[in-house]
Amino acid sequence: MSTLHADHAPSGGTYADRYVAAAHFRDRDHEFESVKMGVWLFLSTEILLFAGMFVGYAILRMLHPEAFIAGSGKLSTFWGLLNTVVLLISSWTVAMAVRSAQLGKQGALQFHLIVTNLCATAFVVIKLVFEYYPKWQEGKLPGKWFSYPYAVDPSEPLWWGIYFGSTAIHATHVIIGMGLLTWLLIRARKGHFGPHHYTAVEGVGLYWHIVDMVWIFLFPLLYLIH
Amino acid sequence: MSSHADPHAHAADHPRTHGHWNPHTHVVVSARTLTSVLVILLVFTFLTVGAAKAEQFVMYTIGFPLPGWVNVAVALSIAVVKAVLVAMFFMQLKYDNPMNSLVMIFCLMALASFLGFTMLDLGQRNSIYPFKSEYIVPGGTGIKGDGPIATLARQKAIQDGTYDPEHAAHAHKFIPPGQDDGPGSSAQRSRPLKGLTLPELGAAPPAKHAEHSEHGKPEPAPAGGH
Amino acid sequence: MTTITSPHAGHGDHGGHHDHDVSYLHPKGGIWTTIWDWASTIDHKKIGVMYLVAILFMFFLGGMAAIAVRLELMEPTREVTVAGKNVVTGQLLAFGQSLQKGNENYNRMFTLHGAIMVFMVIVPSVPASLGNFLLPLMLGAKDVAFPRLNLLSWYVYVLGSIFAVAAIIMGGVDTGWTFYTPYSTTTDVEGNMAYWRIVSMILAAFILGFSSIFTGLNFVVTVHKLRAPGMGWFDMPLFVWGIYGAAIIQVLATPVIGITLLLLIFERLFRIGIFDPAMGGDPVLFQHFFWFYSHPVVYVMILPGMAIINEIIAVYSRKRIFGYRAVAFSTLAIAAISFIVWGHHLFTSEGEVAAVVFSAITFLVAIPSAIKVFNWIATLYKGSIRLTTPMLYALGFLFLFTIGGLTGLPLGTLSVDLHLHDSYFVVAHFHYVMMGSTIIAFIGGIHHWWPKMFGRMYNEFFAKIGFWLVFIGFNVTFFPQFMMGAHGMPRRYASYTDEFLIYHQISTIGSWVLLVGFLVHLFVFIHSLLAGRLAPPNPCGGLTLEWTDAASPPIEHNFHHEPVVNHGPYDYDDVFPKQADPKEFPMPAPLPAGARAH
Repeated sequence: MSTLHADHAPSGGTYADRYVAAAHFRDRDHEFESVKMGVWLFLSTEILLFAGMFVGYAILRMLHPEAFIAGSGKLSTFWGLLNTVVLLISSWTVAMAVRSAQLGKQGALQFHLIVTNLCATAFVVIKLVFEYYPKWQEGKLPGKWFSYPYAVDPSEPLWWGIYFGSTAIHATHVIIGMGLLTWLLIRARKGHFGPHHYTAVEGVGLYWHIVDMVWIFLFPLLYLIH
Repeated sequence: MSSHADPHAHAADHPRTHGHWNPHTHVVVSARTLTSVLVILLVFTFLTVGAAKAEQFVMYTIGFPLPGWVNVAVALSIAVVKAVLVAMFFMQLKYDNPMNSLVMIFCLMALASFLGFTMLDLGQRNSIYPFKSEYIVPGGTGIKGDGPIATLARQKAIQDGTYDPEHAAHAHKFIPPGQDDGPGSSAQRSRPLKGLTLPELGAAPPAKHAEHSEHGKPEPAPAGGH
Repeated sequence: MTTITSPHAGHGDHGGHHDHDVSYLHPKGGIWTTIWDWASTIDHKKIGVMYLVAILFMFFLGGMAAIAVRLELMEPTREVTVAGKNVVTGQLLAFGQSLQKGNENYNRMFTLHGAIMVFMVIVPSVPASLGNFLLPLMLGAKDVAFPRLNLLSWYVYVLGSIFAVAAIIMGGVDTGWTFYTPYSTTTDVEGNMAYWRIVSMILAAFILGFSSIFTGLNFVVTVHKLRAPGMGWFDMPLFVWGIYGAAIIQVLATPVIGITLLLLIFERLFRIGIFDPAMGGDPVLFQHFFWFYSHPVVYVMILPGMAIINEIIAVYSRKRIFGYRAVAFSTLAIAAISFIVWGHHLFTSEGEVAAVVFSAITFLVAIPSAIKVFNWIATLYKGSIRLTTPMLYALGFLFLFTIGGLTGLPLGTLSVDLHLHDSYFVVAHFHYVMMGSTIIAFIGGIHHWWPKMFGRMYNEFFAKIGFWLVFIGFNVTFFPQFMMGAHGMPRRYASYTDEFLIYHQISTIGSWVLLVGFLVHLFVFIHSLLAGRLAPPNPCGGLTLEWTDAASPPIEHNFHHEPVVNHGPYDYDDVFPKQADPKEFPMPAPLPAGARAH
């Protein structure tokens, strides 16, 4: 399927050096810029997807402020904070991964991708084991599953709907990101990325930053209400 | 989107080789910048937690009733600063084609319109005819019309004999002893609350009216029923 | 992005497995090879044709539902006592069962009609079919920016449509296409097969949203990055501007319907209570969520329709479009305003303060819309008008869109809308805009670009007969609905009082005329494919790149050489003055070979 053009592609070098843009682009930079713009448009759709959760949050908090305070009080700020730190570090490593790819440092690229993926795994594990599971056991669940007998506000099930809804959609994005990072790592090990071709690293990196950015807003809005 | 948005799109017809290198397209951000940004982000993360604790201290320990918007305003300002840092440096918008920033700006304008107008409506719905928000009952009438789910959950626990009144009066966040006289909800307490009367069986917990709970109220409650 | 493709397509160094100078329609081999070639194609032209076929099929399904709705309304569905005897009337859709069954089936029928027509026909109609086919051709590009994403969007569209059809098979959805809560959240018994049909329909709309986002994202990047050398923003054909405006809305609005429908599914399956007052939530919140998407999306429907009208009117008037920049900017203005007016769909349920604000902003939409209409009329003035089928459709559009647009003004007026809300006046208004404008423009556009897409001319005589049937049928169907709506006939009822009988009967008869008109067009298309005479490259004398630089039908890679733009899309006076005889009919002579060589 892959064909290389003999006139323009140097015979030697890595896959990334030999890469030639798809036929409808002028050159690799043209392709890179176009893909990047596509990724930014995709990111804006992601932001507007989460916008729904944020608007739902704002309206329901406006209607039932006490329920949100009571519900937020039952979250563990420690785990939330730890998860924020984990995600921020992963955001840094993915930025470093892009930098490594730009500089052609294959080892550093793989290292940063692995660390990012480990952080992502840590995030999901913390979320599931230390946050979701205890709450599930106590019955602090959304809507009709709510069975926690010690609620202090009758609207608390709504709060749990917002909490689980927004964090679950966010966690889904983290898990998708883990898949993408793994894909990047496999390609990086094959030497697919270099200073002249790192479009995929850049795109996934941007996606990962948006996931981080959403959490930057979710953390104070969910955990730090009083 | 204006005509000068993309100066490169119809520039000279570049040969589609790998050699074309636009320094504006590929900016390598220095590791020092990235690391500094990470450090700032971490500092801001702890700052936002610290600010929330400080607000609690002011409200519950000193007893000064902060208005509800302070919590949201502080949390969101810090989050916005963090998000801007991530966008500018990690996501490289500072160095990038301005078109991508424009995409983000349009996206945020759509978000602002979504949030703004929805809140305008649901926040002002009772401003002319007060009855228009009366139907918003805390906790609702229940799925089968037999009471809020939180109340039903408590009833069920009492029937099952798993209800522990001691536990109900305790909560999960640590607040130093002797400082529990503030008007916070029980979720803020680690010790038995003085004077807490458990809601009567079968009835919704006492509704907390806007007049009585200045603290922790992020927005004026439209459901307050003036 | 792993495939490394040749930079010099069409120079014979591509492995030799296909010849680049043949038409994109040329079969690649046997039947299975050809089917696989189409199913795996990343050629925007084939994807456009595949979309066209899929959309026309869904249009047929939605149209059948509409015919059923109109048939049911031929008589009121009710039980009356005549001379001491109970007489049941108008229970066609009950299939001999109870009156209630008839009402339920009526509800399902209009929901199917609405959901299919909105999500599966009108939203993707022009952008996904004609837009996909024409956008790269008009920009002088070899393909859209992300061809694989483009193919994916078609499969996602098909997947979404399958979910919708599954919902029909499971018993049909009776919530109305808007999925308002609590109809969509608390109906049906859990554990029953029927419980899942609404979930299936909601999932269908959710999935179709992805298809829409992919298309929109692709088009925005294509317009920004893939314009031919020499083509600035204001050298683009106005068709591209319209598609571009719609694509921006698709990208920015569709994610919100995604999260809305997701929350709706959570609401139905888990009762999380966000939209449920029984749980402390707010049903009006759902309406805000829904219309934040669904209002902008009516401009996703109309902007591409307007885009087609620009091209048709300019070509068949042989005149530079009047006020190019005003039309281009009005497109963007409509796109921008579309995000701040959604509240006029909930005047009766939202608070007064927001209603007043939304009503005031709503009138802003009239300004750019009127700019467009005035500019089209000014373009017609002293033009060399040829009344071909596409031109008839464009003039029909002007007529119907003006009615549809002007009847929008009373609906945007808060006090009047409280009377007209949820009446047939609303039904008539949005049918004049969605069908009378978008679908009419779509069919006109199909006729206009038919020779380019399939390389064959169609029978002008029968196409015109089709037009007149559609045009007359449409007005007979929907104009009476304005009258009965103003008299108080509510929408979504199978029953009505006797005073509305005559309006409903006229309307139903009109729907049959409309059906015949569409069947004539179907016949024209099939006849053209089987026996139409071969089309020259530029049968209509257009100046946009798809006419001047591409064959009919275009070759696989669109152009033999990358086109260089050296004239505007509507410079008829400069490029070939007096070439075509305005009286020539049905089509002028093709462009002389050297016509654009300067």
